[in-house]
Order: sequence, then structure tokens, then C-alpha cells
Amino acid sequence: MDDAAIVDLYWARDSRAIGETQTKYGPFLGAIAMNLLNVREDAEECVSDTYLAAWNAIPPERPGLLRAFLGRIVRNLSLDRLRRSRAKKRGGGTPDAIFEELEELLPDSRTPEGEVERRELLRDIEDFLRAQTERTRNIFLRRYWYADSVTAIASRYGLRENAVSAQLLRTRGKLRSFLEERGHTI
Amino acid sequence: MTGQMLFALLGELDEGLVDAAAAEPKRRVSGRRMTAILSFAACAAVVGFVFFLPRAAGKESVIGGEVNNQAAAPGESWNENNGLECQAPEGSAGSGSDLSGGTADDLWFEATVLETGDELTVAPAEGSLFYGQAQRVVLDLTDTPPEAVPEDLKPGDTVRITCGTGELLFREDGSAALREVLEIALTGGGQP
Repeated sequence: MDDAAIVDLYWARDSRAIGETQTKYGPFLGAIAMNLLNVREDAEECVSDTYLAAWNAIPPERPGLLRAFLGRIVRNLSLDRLRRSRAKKRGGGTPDAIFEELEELLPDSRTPEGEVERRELLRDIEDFLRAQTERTRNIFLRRYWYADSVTAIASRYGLRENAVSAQLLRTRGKLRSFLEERGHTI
Repeated sequence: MTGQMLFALLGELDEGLVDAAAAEPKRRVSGRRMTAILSFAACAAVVGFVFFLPRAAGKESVIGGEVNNQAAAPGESWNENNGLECQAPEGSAGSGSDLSGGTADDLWFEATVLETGDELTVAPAEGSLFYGQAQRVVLDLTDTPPEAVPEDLKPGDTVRITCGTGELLFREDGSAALREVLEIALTGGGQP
């Protein structure tokens, strides 16, 4: 079933929307949740919560890109659960390596204050990504949006793991310089 | 801002960008098909060169290479996204590694240091990979761990350079720029 038809089911408050979403995007959502949580039970709960969140959000939302819309929900839910599990000092593997890599982008510890500054930072990161080649951009997003492992990215793109790591390192360096030029001291 | 906070912020990136990364990547056209396509279209002459060096007793030979697709024109980049391929001949160092499409595991070549500095410029050894394609290869060491580069390299030193898929950019002046240098090993000292 195409995305428009699934969204129409949500709008019609037809419960088949959940089943269709699960059929089409269940594995996709599960992969994102597992990348972050590495605990199957927690990941499955986040995916289930995603269906509920989508049901509550649509309507009034009418997402144009349902996959990305759902992906964002499960990503946020997984991140929230990750924070809670870390607070309780339990849980499986965490994407610490990803967080550490992103900290290389941060010349100082200041946090963007206010929604305007956050939006400007996001816009500039988007500008940077759009200026990269498709592959460079997608590899960056697979790592820092989808939280894929370097191994998974290498397999996906038919590259060596060292090549992926080197490319990510280059991209982070270029992004950092770009953001500094744009006046961000994040 | 912590790395985790930045990771969370990235969740708000444009959905179009994010969704595009969810799509299955385009698969490369196989080397042989690309050769057939380019030959048919007559885009460029196919230049092949094969290097074979006999193994000296107790010493590994330099890796050979065969560019079996097309001649690299100035400004052209050899990387995993285009049709240029290199294949190590049977029996050479690294043989069995498929270099096509830039997926080699052990791509290395011997060279002589020409210039040092922010970039390292080398001359590929006779018979080595890239020999004949570029007289000077400029190595971008931006991403190379410092411990992987010998200290105090000087012109005249001979080195063995291990590189990954990276990109080899052919320049109009006959040189080439190589990125993704994994390791440089000193194999001999030049004249003081």
C-alpha cells in the first residue's frame, strides 16, 4: 500500500492504518530503534509506541514523507528511552561512539540558546549536506541520523570499513569548518 | 552542547534529506559492463597497462595494477563512483583483492619521496600501481593517523604506501592527488 493510502487510513480513523504501517515500515523502524538501544524488548516497545504516536499525530498531520516522519518518531522515542536507561544505569550497548564523533564538531560547550539559533544551526547543517555528493551526504546521515554502525554502512555501500571511517572523519572536519565560517560556536 | 544533544538536534533535519538516505543505494555497474558501455559509446580510448614484477628472494614485489576501463583524463577522479577500476594481477602482492570499484583491502605501492610538507609528494616506483599514470602523486594526509606516517621523511626516501579506496584525482599537470592514505612505511633512506 502506498504512503498516501496509509495516511488516508489514519485520517479516516481506520485501524488498518496501524497494520499497514507495521507491514511496510516495521523492520525499518525496528532497525533504527535497535541501532540506538541494542535491546530488543526496548526497541520493540519504542516501535509500538511509534505506531501509537503516529495514530495520535495523524490527523492533523499529513506527512508527505511517511517513512521519514515515522523514522523521526521512533528515533526520538528511542533516544528518550536511552536517556532513561542510562540514568538508571542499565541497558545494553549505546551509540557512545556516535555521540563522541559528533562532539568533535563542537569547539566549545556552548549550547544554542533559543529556537531561532537552533533553527539557524539546522539550516546551515542542511546547507552543508546539500552541497556534498549524494553518497557523502547519505553516509553521514546513515551514521548520525539512522545511527548505523560503520560495518553496516560499509556493507550497504560496498565500501571498506576504513573507507567509511575516513570519509566520516573528512565530512565532520568539513562540517566543523563550515559551521565556524557561518559563525556557529556550538 | 553534548554529542548526544547534537544527535538529537539532527533528528530535526529536513525529511527529504533523511528519506533519501533510507533508499537503497544505487548499485554500481559491473566493471565488464561499464567497459562495454564505454567502448560502445566511444567516450574514451581504453588504456590498459599491466605491471608485473618478479618476486625477489625474501622480498615482496610491489603491487601491480591494471587500469582496465578507460584512460584517466585530467580532472578525472578515480573512486568508487565511476567506472575506473584497478585489478591486481595474479601472484602480485595483494592478489585476490578486488580493487574494482575501489573496494580493495590491501592496495599499496612503492614510491620515492619527492617533497615533504603539508602534503607528501611521491614518485611511484617503476612498475608499481599508478606508474605511468602519474609521475607525481600528492598524498593528502589530512585523515591519516600521525602514528601511521614516519617522522622526518625527506626527499629521496623510499616508502611503501598503503591506501584505501579513497580518490585518485588526475591533474592536468600530469600529477595525481591521492586521498585516504592509511599508512606509510619507510623502506629505504635516500642520499643525505
